[in-house]
Amino acid sequence: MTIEDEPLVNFLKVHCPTAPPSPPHLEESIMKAISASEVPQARRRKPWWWLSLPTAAVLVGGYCWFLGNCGKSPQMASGGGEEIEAFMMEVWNLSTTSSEFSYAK
Amino acid sequence: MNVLTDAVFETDCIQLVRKCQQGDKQSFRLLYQRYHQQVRSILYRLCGSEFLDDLQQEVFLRVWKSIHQLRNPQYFSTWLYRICWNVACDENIRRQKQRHQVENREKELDNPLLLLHYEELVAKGLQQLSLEHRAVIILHDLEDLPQKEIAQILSIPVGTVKSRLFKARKKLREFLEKEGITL
Repeated sequence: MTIEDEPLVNFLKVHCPTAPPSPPHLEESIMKAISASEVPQARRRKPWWWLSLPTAAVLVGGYCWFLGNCGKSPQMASGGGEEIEAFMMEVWNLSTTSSEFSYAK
Repeated sequence: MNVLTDAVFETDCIQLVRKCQQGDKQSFRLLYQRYHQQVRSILYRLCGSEFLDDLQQEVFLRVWKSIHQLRNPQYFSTWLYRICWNVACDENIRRQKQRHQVENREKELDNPLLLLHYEELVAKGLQQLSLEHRAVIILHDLEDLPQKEIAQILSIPVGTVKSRLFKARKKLREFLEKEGITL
């Protein structure tokens, strides 16, 4: 504060009107209004915690879907082993004969 | 001794704020009793006597509803001043919308019969300032708050506090000189 400002500030401090005192019922009125309002929460929840919930749900859901559709573990065929053996023999024979023809050409 | 008393007062206040954050209404009552006159005084100087009780109630209701968001209880008083400022700004906007009420108020203030005392002159001088200028005069010159804290309360740079203070004092001085008071 400069020397020029001092008289002004002092004048304001001395002559500034003071607020009228609170009416006696105001404190009770405010306490009643507070009782009617919700009790404040003890601690604000952190936003990152809430954001991680949908992300986790998407990840878990996606993994379950993957297991249900694509991720089935390989299993041995329970029956029909002879049929498969015959089929493979046939394919093998056909392939060897066709390759002989191709070389002959 | 004063430093020690202030430290005890501050620690006590921090404890009260923490209890309020847990929903303790009795602690809120104590906090109210400690600060209500300060709040009332600032609201009176910022907004005048009209709706003063309602504004005071609004400040303390906002305090109760959002006290759990106050992370550092040691800054409670700064935070409280900020709520007072927000309530005063909201009231200012409401009054601007209801222009006829403001006009009636100006007519009242223009009445020379009411301007008999210096107190009334100061009140009128403060009212003719913008709310921003009035706030810095009240917080700095009347409440003796440091400029840094005022900057935090009003969310403005310290440089802006200084420039507003300079302009506000200049306007007040001019007003008082016009009314025949030389300082």
